[in-house]
Amino acid sequence: MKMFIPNYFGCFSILLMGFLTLLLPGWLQDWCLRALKSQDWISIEFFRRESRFLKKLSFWSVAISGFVSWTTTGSFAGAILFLLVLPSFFLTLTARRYARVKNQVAQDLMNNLYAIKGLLDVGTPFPQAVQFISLESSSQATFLLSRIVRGFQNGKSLETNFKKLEFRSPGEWVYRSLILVEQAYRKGLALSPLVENLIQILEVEFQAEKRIKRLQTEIWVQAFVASLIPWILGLVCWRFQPEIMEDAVGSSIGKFVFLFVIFWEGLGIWILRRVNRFY
Amino acid sequence: MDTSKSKPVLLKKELLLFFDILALYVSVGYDLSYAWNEAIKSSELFQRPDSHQSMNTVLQNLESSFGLKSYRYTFGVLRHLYHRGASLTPAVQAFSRTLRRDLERDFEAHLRTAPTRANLCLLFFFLPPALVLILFPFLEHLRQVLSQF
Repeated sequence: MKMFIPNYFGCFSILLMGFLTLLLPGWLQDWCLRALKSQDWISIEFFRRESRFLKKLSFWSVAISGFVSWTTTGSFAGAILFLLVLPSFFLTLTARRYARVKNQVAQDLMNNLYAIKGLLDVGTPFPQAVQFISLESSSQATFLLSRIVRGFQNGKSLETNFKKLEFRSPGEWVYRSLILVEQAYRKGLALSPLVENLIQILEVEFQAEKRIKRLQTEIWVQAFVASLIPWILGLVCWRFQPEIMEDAVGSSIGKFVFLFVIFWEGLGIWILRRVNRFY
Repeated sequence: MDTSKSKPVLLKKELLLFFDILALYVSVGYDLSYAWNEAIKSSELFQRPDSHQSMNTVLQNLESSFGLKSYRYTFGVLRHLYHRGASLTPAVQAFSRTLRRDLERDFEAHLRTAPTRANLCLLFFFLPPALVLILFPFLEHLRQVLSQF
């Protein structure tokens, strides 16, 4: 029977992984908030809700990569490597979910503006209209509105409430429009024509954003395919002509070429991002 | 916001919002200096003018130094109308409409040219690496085979 020999590297790796798995979720949350450049109410709320998913993801990703690495190579190097790439992996994953939530809130606020306009048209005062909407609808934006209304009823302006929640994104125009409506209300100006005008502006903005997004998706798919094809072809070639590929990868010039290709494609992705942006 | 360094499209967007708010206040009869200060609160475009600065000076400064050269005239027109005591509402609303159309044109142009720019980008940054990755192993193998002779 084989004697159990304590593997100090293995024990240390397990301890390190356990420690990091405990620390990772909180650290990843902060890192993502900074990377997404958002410290507003929506993002903090989003990551608070994501924390369970985050803990599960951290635990299972480290455990699975550790197991695979241990069984194939006999070390936990794979898990440690995975721990290093986990932040970017997680950021890519959550950035999309976060963008979806942001868009949803902006869309909800826009719909609320329609409802407020309807109520203003039948003579409902502005605070009551906002309160009614925040009580009646059940969208994500409504939660935001209800928090704002609470402050609004206590005599604070919408702007103060928005600032208190650090509500900047999403839909900057929606946010500014609401402030504008509130300003007009406080000055006793006619609200209904203003809201109608704002809705028209916001509609144009939303349509523009959708068109930009559609275009960006098409371009990103093209870039993704273009950057992936050579690597897939390389793998296929490796399968059928391993000696050719091993010669190429093993040579000193080969390493330089592969690094250059990664750098060049990364630069391309960065420039493509800048080219696609409208604002 | 530093208007001389910002992107023109971003400046136009901010200016449009500013004029929209200004038009709202001016249309109900508020004085331009009051409307200006109120509009500034909702916009990041301009800094609050000093208390000793007259509206005339503020507009004159913007007329000579605003980041978008093609829209400097708007401040000149506003200054002229304000100086003469004429109604400002139609002018501000007209600026707002012009800006909105201008932004729409910019947007359409962006949508028209974006695929071409993206394709050029793909051609320049993704096609050469693809060719290199496909051809390099064979060329390297060939080089090694030839070096043996």
